[in-house]
Amino acid sequence: MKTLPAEALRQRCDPQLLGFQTTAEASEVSGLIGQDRAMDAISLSSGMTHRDFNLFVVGPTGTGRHTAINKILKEDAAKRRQPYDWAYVNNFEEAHKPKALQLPSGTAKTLQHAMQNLVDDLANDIPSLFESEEYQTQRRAIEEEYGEKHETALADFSERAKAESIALVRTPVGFMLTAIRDEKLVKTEDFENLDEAEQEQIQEQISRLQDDLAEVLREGPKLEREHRKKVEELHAAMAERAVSARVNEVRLEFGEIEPISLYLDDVHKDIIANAELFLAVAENSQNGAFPEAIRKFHREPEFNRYVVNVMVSQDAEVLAGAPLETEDLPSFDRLIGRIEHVSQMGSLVTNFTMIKPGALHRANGGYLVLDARRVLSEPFAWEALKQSIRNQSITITSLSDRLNLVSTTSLQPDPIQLDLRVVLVGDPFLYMLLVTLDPDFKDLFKVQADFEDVIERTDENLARFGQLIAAFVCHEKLLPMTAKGVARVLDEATRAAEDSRKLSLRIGALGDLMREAEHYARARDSRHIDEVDIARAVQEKERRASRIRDRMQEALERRIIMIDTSGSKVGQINGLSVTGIGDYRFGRPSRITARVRMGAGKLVDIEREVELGGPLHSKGVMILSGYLTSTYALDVPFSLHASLVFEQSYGGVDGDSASSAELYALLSALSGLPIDQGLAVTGSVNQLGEVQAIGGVNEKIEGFFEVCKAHGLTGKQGVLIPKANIEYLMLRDEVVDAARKGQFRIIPIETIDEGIEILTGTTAGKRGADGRFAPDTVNAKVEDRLKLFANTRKAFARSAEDGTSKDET
Amino acid sequence: MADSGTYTRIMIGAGCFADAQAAMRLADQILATLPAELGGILIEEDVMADIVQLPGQRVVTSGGSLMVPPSARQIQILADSDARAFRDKLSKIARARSAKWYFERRVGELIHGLFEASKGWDILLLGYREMHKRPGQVVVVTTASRGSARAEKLAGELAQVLETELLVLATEESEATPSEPSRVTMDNEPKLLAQLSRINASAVVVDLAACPLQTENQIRQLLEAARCPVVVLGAEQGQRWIEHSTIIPPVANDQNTKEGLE
Repeated sequence: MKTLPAEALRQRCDPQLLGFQTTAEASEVSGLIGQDRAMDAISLSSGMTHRDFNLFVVGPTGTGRHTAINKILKEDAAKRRQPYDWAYVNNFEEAHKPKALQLPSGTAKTLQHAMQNLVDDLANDIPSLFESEEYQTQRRAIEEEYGEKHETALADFSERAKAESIALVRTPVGFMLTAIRDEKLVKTEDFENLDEAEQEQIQEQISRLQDDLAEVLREGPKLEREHRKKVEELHAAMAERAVSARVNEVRLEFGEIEPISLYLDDVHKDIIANAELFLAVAENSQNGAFPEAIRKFHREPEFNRYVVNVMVSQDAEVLAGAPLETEDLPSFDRLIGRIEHVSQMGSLVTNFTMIKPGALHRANGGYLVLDARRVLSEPFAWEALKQSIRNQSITITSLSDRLNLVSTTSLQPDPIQLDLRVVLVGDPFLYMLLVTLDPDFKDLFKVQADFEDVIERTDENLARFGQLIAAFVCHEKLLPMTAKGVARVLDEATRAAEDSRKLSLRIGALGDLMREAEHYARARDSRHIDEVDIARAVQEKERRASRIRDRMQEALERRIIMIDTSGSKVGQINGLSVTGIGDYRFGRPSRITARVRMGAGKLVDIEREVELGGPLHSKGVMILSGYLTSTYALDVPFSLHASLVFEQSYGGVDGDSASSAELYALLSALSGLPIDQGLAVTGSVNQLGEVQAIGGVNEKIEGFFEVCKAHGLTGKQGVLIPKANIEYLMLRDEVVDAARKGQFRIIPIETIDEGIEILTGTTAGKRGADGRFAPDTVNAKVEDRLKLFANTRKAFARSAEDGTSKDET
Repeated sequence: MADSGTYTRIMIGAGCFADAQAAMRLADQILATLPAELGGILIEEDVMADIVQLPGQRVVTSGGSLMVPPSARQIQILADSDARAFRDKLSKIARARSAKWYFERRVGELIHGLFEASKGWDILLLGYREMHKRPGQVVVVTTASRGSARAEKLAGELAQVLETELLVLATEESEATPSEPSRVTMDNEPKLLAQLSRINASAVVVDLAACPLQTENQIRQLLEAARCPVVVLGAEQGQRWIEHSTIIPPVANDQNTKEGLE
């Protein structure tokens, strides 16, 4: 029996390797270690200019994914040129299709302010111009001219009619004409009494004058139109003088920026055409505490049409390079922007000033980092993101419009050109799902940055990791940590990696540990975080999470859950399992028993029968069944009926790590050889009888150790582990100390034969040249028992046949 | 106009609703400046029925179209419709201004009937349909020698309300009368009427006590020349041809109504 020495049970980092006494002395190191592959991928995606080389960062949480992304992208962003500013302005011809202006970096806000000043100035200048004597005189002249034209035409007609003794009679439906004779109107009966010539003359006069009057009245609307046009021309001419000069000032301010120049042309025309807006606002003004001249007219809703709605604007003063944005709540609206509405008279209305930017706008020209799971869990966000990347443009649409939920006025803003590198951060499972289920995914996210969660525990890596911890301590402004403390943290990293040759890269968890340790260091008035503080932090963390473990331990100590840690029993063995709650896991022993009898080759896994066993557990039982049938009594029918059970197990059991223990219990039951109850077993078995590695070996050993310690350590107690698991050992100091003192043993084994020998204290036995196992060995006893079952079964069958024939005779 | 503390009684008279409308708009403007009681009288003239059957007779609409004249039955329907519209509009204006109102419908000669009905009213407002939308001046027609302060005051107020200018048109040139740009003096009434006919006026104001035009025929000519509502002051004094018994409603009993007083 090879018991592992205490030194093999736990790796210990030599503080000398770190090259400093405390982290205060350590050189400043930043970045990550062991993530070269992922870093290269990020650099590739960040540096490439071709479209669709977006990045999916795969890796477990706490491995420094965000830190790495931010570091690399920030460096690359700083090297890139500042992106364009974008703004929405009114489309004066089609108000529901706002125009997007692409402007040089830092220009949008300047234009916005320039337009506000323009409106403020014109709101003062235009009314002043229209109140001027010059305007009033010209306007009066027009009014008089057209009033006179109307009146002259009517007066001329009136005089002509009067000269011909024809009167104009007003009726509810219009005018009628009749002759005047002797200062009286000629009625129908009077007319009939007139001589024929006079009648004809009156008829002719009335007919002609009717036509004349109709002509005069028809001229009315025409004169109205002419008048209106004249007034409009006057207004335009007056407004033109004020507007042209002021718009040209703005134009000069922005030089040859074509979009601004074109926009100002439109503004110029619109202000002249709508000069009355400025007059109306001036008329409605309330004289408040401030003089009219400093009133902010641009805030009046009437002037919203001249607003420059800035979507994104860079600070031209700060040469910050390209933007690096993150969006923690990547909903549809927050990604692509939204169109807000306000309620007016019970209706929802909107205009281009209510277009709000999203994360894509802010990050345009740079990088956008998103959490993949959050994007996928927000309705329509993933589709909108893909569409924007595919089309290389941001099209703002209202979700309610898209779903036809609300019938209201909406906008169709110009799409904004998108030049963006999207970085999605997610876990491997999500990545696999997207690759499998979304055909667009691989086209749009061509680069994968796969983060390692462990690195080799080499001296070099320990030293680098130590530097990284020192940098973390410095960055987080923690108390300096001693080299021993850092070494202890590194050992915890190995424990977290579940592999004594590895170091876990889950920096997040280690960071929490260090912060907690600092708290204890400060509590004891230390100026350093030391090994004891780390140890306490580990212990306290376990203690906080170990309520259920303690209750189970108590049940074991009080023998409510029956576990023997001494003596020996046939068909009974201590198996080991791991229970997890969140990220805390602990091991516990379980009594496994096996019972056998003659049968027809059936192995009953009671856990499976009652559906408490998972598929992996069932697989393990079937494998051990395969081992039994292919190893023993090969020349007779397999005539065993056996049952296996995890005693006092009321929850589910899964995994195959107990399959070797179950096999030992069966072999004990078949051979009649008792198993040492001071030993517990873990390891899975294959059909060749080899013991294979399992997970959670440290927790399992510690779980059994706790029970043994409670029952009293005898020095004969220990755990059989697969040899392959030696490299995974990173046991707590308490277990290592007990092993060092010879109170507890860790025994690595490779085969079932090796294990059964240790458990029963009897040689397992090998087949000799005669094909038989050596007598009095475990295997010989097992085979003999199985053959006995077969023979008994055969005899039983014969006697049954005999009995039948007798009956028949 | 009535003294302070009382209210002015304004009678609007017209031969049809189209003519009354412009006068009612003017009355509304006056009501905005002083407390008043509003009266309305629609006088249906026989003349329309008398001339519709003249050979070749056509109606020229305000838009310049020629139409076949309405039949006698249609004339009656139109008159009823106009009366309803006049009454409704009048009551609406009065209610909006919290003023008392009164409406009556009569048959007869327009000017004669209006003067008869306006006995006891402060202002008589003769309606004339709006011929175009151009705002014109407020014209006071008076005699240069006598003049009328109250007519000019009312006209000035109207000009202010209508945001237009005041023009005084007078006869009988007097040396005492200073020459002003807003004052035009004519030799005689025909010239005055000819001049008025060529002025774009929003309203004409006359005070019968100081107006060169006083007879029914002259007032009719004034209305035809003005082609806008004419505000007549002094009609409450009555003309010699107006019978005392025709005053409506009798001054002594302002609760008396013929059709409705609210």
